[in-house]
Amino acid sequence: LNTYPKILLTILPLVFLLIATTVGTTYYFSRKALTGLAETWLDTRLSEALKVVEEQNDMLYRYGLEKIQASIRKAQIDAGIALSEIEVGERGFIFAISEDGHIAIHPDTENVGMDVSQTSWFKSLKPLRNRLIHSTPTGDNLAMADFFQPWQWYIVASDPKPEVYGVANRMIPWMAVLGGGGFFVMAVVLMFLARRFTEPLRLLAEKAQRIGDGHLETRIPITSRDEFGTLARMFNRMVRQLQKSRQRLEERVAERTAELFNANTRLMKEIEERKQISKENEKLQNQILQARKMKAVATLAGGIAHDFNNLLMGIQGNVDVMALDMGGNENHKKQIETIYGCVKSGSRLTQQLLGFARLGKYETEVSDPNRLIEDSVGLVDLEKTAVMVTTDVQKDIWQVKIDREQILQVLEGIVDNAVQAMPEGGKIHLESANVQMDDRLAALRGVSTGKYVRVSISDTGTGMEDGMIEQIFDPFFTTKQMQRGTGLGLASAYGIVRNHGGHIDVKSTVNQGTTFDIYLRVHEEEEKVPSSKAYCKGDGVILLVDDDPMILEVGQAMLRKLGYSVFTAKGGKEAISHYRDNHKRISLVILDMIMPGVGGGEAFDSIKTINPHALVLLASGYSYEGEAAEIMNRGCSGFIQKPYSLQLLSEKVNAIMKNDG
Amino acid sequence: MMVMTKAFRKNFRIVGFQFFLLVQFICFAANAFSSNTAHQPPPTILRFGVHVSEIGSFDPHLAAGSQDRIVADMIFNGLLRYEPGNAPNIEPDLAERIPEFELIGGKQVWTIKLRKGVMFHAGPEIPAYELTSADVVFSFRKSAKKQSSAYAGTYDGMRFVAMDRYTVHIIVDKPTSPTLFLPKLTNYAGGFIVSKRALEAGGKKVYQAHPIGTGPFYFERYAPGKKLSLRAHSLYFRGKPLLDGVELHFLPDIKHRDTGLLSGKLDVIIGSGNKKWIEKITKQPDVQIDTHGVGEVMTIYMNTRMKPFDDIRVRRAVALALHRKGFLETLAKQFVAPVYSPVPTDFLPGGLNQGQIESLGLMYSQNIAEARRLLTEAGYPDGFALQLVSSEKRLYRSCYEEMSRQLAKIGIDCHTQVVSHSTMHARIRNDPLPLILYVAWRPNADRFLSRFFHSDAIILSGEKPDTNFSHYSQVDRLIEEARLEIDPKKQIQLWEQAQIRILNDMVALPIMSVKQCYVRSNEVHYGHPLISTMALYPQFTEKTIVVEDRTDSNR
Repeated sequence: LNTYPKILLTILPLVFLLIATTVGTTYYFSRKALTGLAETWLDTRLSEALKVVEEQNDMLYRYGLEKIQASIRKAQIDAGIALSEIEVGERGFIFAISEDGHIAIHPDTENVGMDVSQTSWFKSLKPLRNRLIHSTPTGDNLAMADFFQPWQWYIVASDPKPEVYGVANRMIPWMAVLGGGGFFVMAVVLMFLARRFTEPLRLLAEKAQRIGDGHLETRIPITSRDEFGTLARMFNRMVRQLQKSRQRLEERVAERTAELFNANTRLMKEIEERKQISKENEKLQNQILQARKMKAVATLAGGIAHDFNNLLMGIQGNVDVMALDMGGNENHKKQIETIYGCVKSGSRLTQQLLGFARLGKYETEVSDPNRLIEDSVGLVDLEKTAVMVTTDVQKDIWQVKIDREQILQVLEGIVDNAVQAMPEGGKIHLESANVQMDDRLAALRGVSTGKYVRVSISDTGTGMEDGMIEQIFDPFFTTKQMQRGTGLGLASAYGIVRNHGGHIDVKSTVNQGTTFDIYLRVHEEEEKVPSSKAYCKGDGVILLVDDDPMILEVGQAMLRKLGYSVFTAKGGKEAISHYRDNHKRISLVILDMIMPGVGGGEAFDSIKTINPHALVLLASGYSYEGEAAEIMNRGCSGFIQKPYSLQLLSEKVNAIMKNDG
Repeated sequence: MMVMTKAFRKNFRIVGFQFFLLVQFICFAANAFSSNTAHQPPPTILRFGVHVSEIGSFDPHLAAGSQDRIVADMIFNGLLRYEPGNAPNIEPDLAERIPEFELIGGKQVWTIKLRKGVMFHAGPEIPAYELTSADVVFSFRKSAKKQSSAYAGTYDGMRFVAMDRYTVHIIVDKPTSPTLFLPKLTNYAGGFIVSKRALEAGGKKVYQAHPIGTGPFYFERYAPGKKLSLRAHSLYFRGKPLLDGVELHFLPDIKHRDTGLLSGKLDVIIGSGNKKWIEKITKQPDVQIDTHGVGEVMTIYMNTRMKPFDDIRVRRAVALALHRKGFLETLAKQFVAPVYSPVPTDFLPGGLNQGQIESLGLMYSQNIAEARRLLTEAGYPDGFALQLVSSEKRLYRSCYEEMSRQLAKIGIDCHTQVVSHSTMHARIRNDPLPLILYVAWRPNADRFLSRFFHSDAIILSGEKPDTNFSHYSQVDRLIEEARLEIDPKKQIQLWEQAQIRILNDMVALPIMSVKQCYVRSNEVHYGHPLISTMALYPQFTEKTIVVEDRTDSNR
């Protein structure tokens, strides 16, 4: 039990005992006092009664009636009447008993003559004034009695006990109520005081319990100046000390924990990084392997394409000369057109090879990706298929700087693949969107961070399994029938996009379709509008340098057709020599970049050594990047992608010459 | 429902009666108004037939006969009065209230405040005037003088002082209880207030011819042997009487009286105790018989100084031989009631009733054997002879006869001489007799005991010889001290002890009380209940009326 109930259980019975004792004592002494009081006034009433009977008796003697029985009897009756008029309380009365025990006078006439001689109280009567308790049918009476000798009467002044003790008896319920009320009040007060006195103890216990449970911020709010207050202050002081110690400990633990956490974080990060590095290394390794493989293939393809381009250049040049010479002659026009078609197909093949080898980009320009989408859709022959093409282009699409032909080649190839993937018909959807490639995505995709335009081509075709997706950009991998494709389409597309600094993602689900997301790097500079296609003729001497005699021959013919005088050189060394000798006459040098012996770069440097102002148009079947770009940076005046047309040649030559003039 | 019905009937009667009074009043007023202009109706006079032929005295302090008291009651007032028809209850009359006393210097001083505006009747020599304390003092001083009052002894030891016009002090040397004092101020005997001016102007003679008082009726004329006429006192302080007047017709013969009543010539008559007459008159439809107190008490007195009644055993033997029932049967039962103590319990304090007498062993129930034994013991085994005197009045004669018959059973031979009533009175006072049967009324216990049992009242030899026919003197101290006792309870106890002693000594044997009997026309309404009256007639007051309109020649 707690202290509070202990106090109550200890003191409340004592209080109850005290009140009960007080009430009982009060009642006892009240009753005793009432007894004394009743005896006093019963004695007084008895004296009055004796006086009455004495007066009556005296009256008898005074008038000589003492021997007349009727007079005596009348005197006694009158005495009885007078006695009945003496007030003995409300219920008390005075009566007389003859010596032989018969009631002589009684206010209740029915009792007159009653024999009470055998009652114990009558037998106890003495001829002296004495107190007695006598019984009546209604209960015991307290009485005082005396003996009146002349009439041989016991005169008794009697009052029922309930009246004698009426006050005390009436006090009982009041005392009970007061006692009960007092006990209740004292109990309440005691409970209040006990609660008040034990409250600090309870608070101490409660707070100590909280403190014991670890709530060291707990304080005991006792401000009294007694022992509890002192104890509380000491306790609070102790807890503050404990709290400080704990706080220091916790700070140390926190510091240590933080250190461990940081170490762990670092470790985890390191592990993650190592995993990532490992993964990237693995990927890189694969990429290196893939790149090596692709480079080998690309070198092969590039060599083939170079040679093949030279062949096509020869064919193209000669045909152009022949066509120019033929003028309006229509006799061989059809054949010439056929030759043009073959050259074009061969050129496309070389373009694919060069694209795959990332060597096919000859000339970039600022383009509208949405226009590219429209153009690519227009290139697809949809009339014979049940394919429906939809587009969703972003209006404020960023501009990209691309080789338009190559990118169109990529889009056309992918759309064509989609059409072929849906022989039973389906939907092709093209859309454009501006995207920001962050470091993570850029790293993942192997591109530089920055703005890109995403061109997405989705079909509802058969889709591909994951293993197939990994191979679709491999050269000569095809799902088409052998006679329908070369297997260089997607490999070339991939090469072209990568060559443009972009990236291709493929997402495919079997039986649902495939989506190609082509990311093209955004061009953020203004670009001049392409010029018109009219031949630009001029004059002057042009030194044409190429290791391929056919090129020299065709080129010379084309330049002459354009109004220029042409010196030719079969290699770099010859070109330097020739330029040194005739540099004052030579207006422009058209220099092949890849030549055995002294290559285009070295020859360019020599020419520039001879004439720092020399105008040089670099020509190559490879792309502009790489060595071509380096030469251009060293002051080369222009670049032309082989095989070039007469139109392109006239524009390039004219542009350099005009700028210089 | 029954109670409501009774209450309703009672209320209806009261309301009806009040309405009737109102109608009568209106008629009376209308008649009074029209009397000057048209037919004047005869006045409403109540005609009362009395049993005597003349008035003894108009002086109320000398009134002895019942006719004298009747006249005094209508002409005079007291300071107090017995409630009309309800004696002995007392109420203020000329006094404003019941007086109280204070003890000053050992003497009792009673202060009387007089009612203001009380007017005396106009007399032949003086006009009407207002009663003052001077008239009161004059009256009591007159009552206290033997020469002018038959009740002088009543006022011994009392002095009367007029304090102011309306205040009188009565100083009593020996303090007296209200029980004995207040009756002295009532409209009875010496308590009547007379006109000082009238008596001083005309002397005693004026009251012999023309009494003047303050009562509801004033004296008009008197024709001895015929009638006495009284008229309504218009200035009466309780209001003018409803009656115009009262006439007393002197008709000693009961036959004349009842003939007058039944013929409508009388309205009220004094009746007779004769049983046959009662039976006859009871059958009459238009009359009403009234019996009421106070009743005179018939007692047999035994002369304790005359042989053989000087022996208590003889007296007790006589008492044991007599039986009240025989006496009661001589009269109609409406008139009589047994009496067991010298002072009757009806109408007076101080008597002992039957229960008390029985409890005290003083009943003396008839026991012939015991009576004979006592006589034998006393030396009269064969009895003895008695010479007695009776009044000629029927009541006396019949009772003496009854007594003789009863005493004969124990050998006592009564020889009764019948004489006139007045002779009887004279004989019994002047010639001691062994046994006397006497009928009388006294206004209180003291008067009863003093006049019949105090030694002063012993005939011939007493200091104030009166009617102590027993020559008894054993209760003098009790009577005297009771007279002076101012505590009414103790006073009564003393009276009772005196009577116990008297009965124990068998000095006198009370027999019965005889009520008064009056017969009235149904048209007469007294205006008050009729239980008892000290005036010895039903009392005619300002409220008494005769309701029938009588215009015939019978008036």
